[in-house]
Amino acid sequence: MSILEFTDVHRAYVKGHDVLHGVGLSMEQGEVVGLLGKNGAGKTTLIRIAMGMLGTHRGSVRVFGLDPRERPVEVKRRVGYVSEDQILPPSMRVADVVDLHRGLFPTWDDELAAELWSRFGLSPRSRISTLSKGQARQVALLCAVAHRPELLLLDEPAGGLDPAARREFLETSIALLNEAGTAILFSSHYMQDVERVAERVVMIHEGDVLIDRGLDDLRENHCVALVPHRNGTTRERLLGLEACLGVRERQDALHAVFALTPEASCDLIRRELGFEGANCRQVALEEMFIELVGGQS
Amino acid sequence: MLIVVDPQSGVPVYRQLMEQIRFQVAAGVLAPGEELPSTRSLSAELGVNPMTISKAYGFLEMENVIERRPGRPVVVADQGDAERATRKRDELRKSLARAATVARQLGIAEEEAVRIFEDVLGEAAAGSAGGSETRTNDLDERPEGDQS
Amino acid sequence: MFSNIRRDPAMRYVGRATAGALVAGFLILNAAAFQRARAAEAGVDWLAGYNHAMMLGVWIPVLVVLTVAAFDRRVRRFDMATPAEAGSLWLAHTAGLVLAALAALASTVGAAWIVERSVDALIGRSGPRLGVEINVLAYRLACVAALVVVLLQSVDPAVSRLSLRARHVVPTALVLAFGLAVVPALDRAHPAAALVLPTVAAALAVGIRRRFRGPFRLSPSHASLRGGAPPQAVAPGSVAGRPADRGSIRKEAPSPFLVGAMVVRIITKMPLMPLIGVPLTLGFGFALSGWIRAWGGGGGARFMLVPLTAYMLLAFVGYPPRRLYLLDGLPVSRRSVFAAVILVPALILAAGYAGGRIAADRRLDGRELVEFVEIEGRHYTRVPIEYCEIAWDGDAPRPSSPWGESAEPWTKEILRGRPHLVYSPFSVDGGSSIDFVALQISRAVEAVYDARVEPEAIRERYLEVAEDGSVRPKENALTIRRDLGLRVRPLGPVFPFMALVAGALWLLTATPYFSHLRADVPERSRKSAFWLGMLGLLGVHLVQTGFLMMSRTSSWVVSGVWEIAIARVSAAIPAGRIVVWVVAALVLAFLYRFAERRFLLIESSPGDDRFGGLLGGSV
Repeated sequence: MSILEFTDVHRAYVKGHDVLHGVGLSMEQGEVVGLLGKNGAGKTTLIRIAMGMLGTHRGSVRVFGLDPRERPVEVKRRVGYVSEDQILPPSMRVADVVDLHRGLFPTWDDELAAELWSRFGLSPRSRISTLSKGQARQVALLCAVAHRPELLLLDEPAGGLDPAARREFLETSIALLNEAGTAILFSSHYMQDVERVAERVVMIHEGDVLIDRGLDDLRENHCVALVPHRNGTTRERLLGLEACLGVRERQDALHAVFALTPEASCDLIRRELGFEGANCRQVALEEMFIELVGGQS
Repeated sequence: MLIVVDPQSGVPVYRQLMEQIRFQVAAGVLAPGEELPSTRSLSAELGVNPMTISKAYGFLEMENVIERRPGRPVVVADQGDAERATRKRDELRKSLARAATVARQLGIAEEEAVRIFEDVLGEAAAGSAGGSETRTNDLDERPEGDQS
Repeated sequence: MFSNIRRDPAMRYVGRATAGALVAGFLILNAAAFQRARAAEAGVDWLAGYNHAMMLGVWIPVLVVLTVAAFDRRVRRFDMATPAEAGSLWLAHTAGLVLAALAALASTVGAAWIVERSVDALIGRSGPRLGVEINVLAYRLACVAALVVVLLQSVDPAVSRLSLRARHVVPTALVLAFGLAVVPALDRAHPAAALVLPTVAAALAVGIRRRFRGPFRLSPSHASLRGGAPPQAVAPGSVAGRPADRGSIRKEAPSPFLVGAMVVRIITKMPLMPLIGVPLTLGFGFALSGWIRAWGGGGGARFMLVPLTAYMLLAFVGYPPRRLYLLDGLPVSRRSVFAAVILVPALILAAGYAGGRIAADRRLDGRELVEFVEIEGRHYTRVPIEYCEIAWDGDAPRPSSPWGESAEPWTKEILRGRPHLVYSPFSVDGGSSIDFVALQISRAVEAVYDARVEPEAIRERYLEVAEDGSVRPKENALTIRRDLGLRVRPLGPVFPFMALVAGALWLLTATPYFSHLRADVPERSRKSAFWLGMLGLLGVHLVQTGFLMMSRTSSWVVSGVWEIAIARVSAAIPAGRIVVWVVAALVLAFLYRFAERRFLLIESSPGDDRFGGLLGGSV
């Protein structure tokens, strides 16, 4: 049974204007999935739907096989959630917030909590509203992680944090992976982090799933081909090739993303378009992302 | 263990790991029977998903570079001398293949290329003292085309 | 200077606060208008100052709310960067606050004045001025307000954002109370004596302005100051935790009760709700129980307050649903949150009601309800109106005896110009015989105390015939209840009826509001849904009040009619009392589920609570 399953999820914020059009996605136990997309693509909406904070206008979501809106307590007991938006009560003290979580999660691990507490160096008497962004995020992370959730939902968890704090966050997530085999779904703009931790990458563009591949597969079996503007090499013709996922038009050349290895891509271009000198290469995730989202028609 | 990974290089992390470990084993830096870090500790140290480490170790085990026993730490496999020699040659071959491509692209003749290689070897021998290993060049250039 | 005042961040709230004070004042005084009208007729003294207490009850919370919740931000970041002098900004802010407090006061007073004048117009004459004139009271309050506001603003004047702690609030509350107590004395001594307070305030303000060591600095709690870790923090990566820190986490997990309390605290506007909400709700519960009757006031306002109660309860559920996003990450069931949101105010209201009933019963304990009183030389029977009957067609039957004697029943018109009457079946005439009087008293005793006392016994023990042939009591008054230790027959269950009406109005207006709290509904629509409900309830209240006022009816008659009706209905149905309770419970349970369903579907996003609250801002 999947730990998280989205089926044909539709959701709109303004009538008639869907933010998610029929998104389908499923996650198994222990999987780490990175959710990428431009701002407004629907990543936060998707995660919120998984948490039952938003309903679906069409389609369904199941977490551990349950509907998070119908059975919120059972679902949320096994899920940890950290978001860039602050959802800790601002006037509460840190110690009280931690106590609140402790009382609500039956699987709370005191030792893990104490270890994180001392590692983060949190001061118990401060009110949440007086903490810096990084500290508040650390409190949120502690609360989300100390009960050893089976699923961790992270919505831009490192947003607005300095590099050291981001690294802390990452290391804690990895430690959790090591210890508990927690499944993680996280959205992030920091590709470096995604490339470190994710096994699978899902790219959302304008409410649809653009790509849902393993990260290694994405790097090894996908490439970017630089093709200069010529008579035979136009955007439309490139997009017409089945293995082409998107073409971004630039001043100097067309940047095309292919679901093929670089050699195979160059071969294809030579065969179909009759052009020899394409520059095909493997790229890092960030570049792939830029080419892909910029290259949609 | 001296491993450096660059998640943004375009080469998958597991592959980077595999190449580095392979090279170090071939170079003798990692001796046969020497212990390698556990998946857990390596993942924590490098800051990458333990699945990635696991994948790399899995492939290395298939290639008989390392040995994994349940309940025991991962160790470098004990390859015969012949096999080790073969691997060393393979590593060098890999590195030279790239240089050969460059030479061809620049249109340098074969004999001249060999002469240049000999010069460079000489410089390397003079420059490195006490057997310090050079870092693998794998990561310095973006490879053109896939490297297996 | 004036432009500074106008641009002060606090000024945004003035309009809303003033309007709010006006509406609240108008509403509450409206209900009290009947008290005044009744008292004007009966010349009852104790109501002196009742209106004014109501006014204070409205204005003080508004003042607290303004000062604590909305006006803590002295200066915007933008202004801090401008060359405007910090001292004059502070002065502008303080002056603005005083103006706002006075505006709120003026609107409350205005509302009271309107209500008073309209009651006068409707009674047809000018009622006796009870206690102090409203404008005099306003003048006194204004003096105190100026001082209180300046005092609060004098705390650490150079900090950009005032964060009040108990050590500031308590002395200020004391000064407020002291001022309210002392000002009347000053005023009596000399008309201008009370002006000493605002003079002191002005001097204080000027002094602070002069000594102002600007510029403004950010308050220590300001989030943007938190660039690095706080001084106590241990560097990340270090392993050893300090035992003191670790010990701050409780040893055992907190009890479910404590967890529940924390959850409630998260969704409640502290300290406003407990400070103002709880006493207000208790007060309403008290008023609904008709406790005033025990002290001689008319009980009519009791039923009139029902729509107002629903209005207040709706106001209470405006804010908590907007805080749900703080609970969304936690495994807290929405059902229990809904239960807390609905049941807590309901229980407090019920507690107030129960308290009022107990107090009233205590006071009325032993009081003779069947009376034989003298009116202009003759004696007539009298029972509380609740034990009378209603004649819809205006045809009140003459009470009669088996031997054919009858008397003219006491009647009271319910609505002016309509035939409906309340009449007493226990009336006696000036010319009634002693046997008839005894018979009527016996009937009354049976109705009121549910006890059978023979007319002969009554005649023997309590009645005698005077020289002029009229019947009169042997001692000054009947002492039947005391002598026989009788208990009053409980009338029809009023509480379930009130609970049903108030609860239904409340849940029916709350449900559309909950339905609008979805992520795809714009803030404008949400506010409309809420305020439409509020205005609807307000409308019900005003319509009912207006109708009754125009019908020139007496409040106590209205109350009596309702009670008679309820009692008759529950008497007519077999096991009537239980049926009424059960029906009320079932209907309320159904409406509860109906509202709960919408509540469960609420979608709350971070920052929703910025818009919640009555003043539309941080309140």
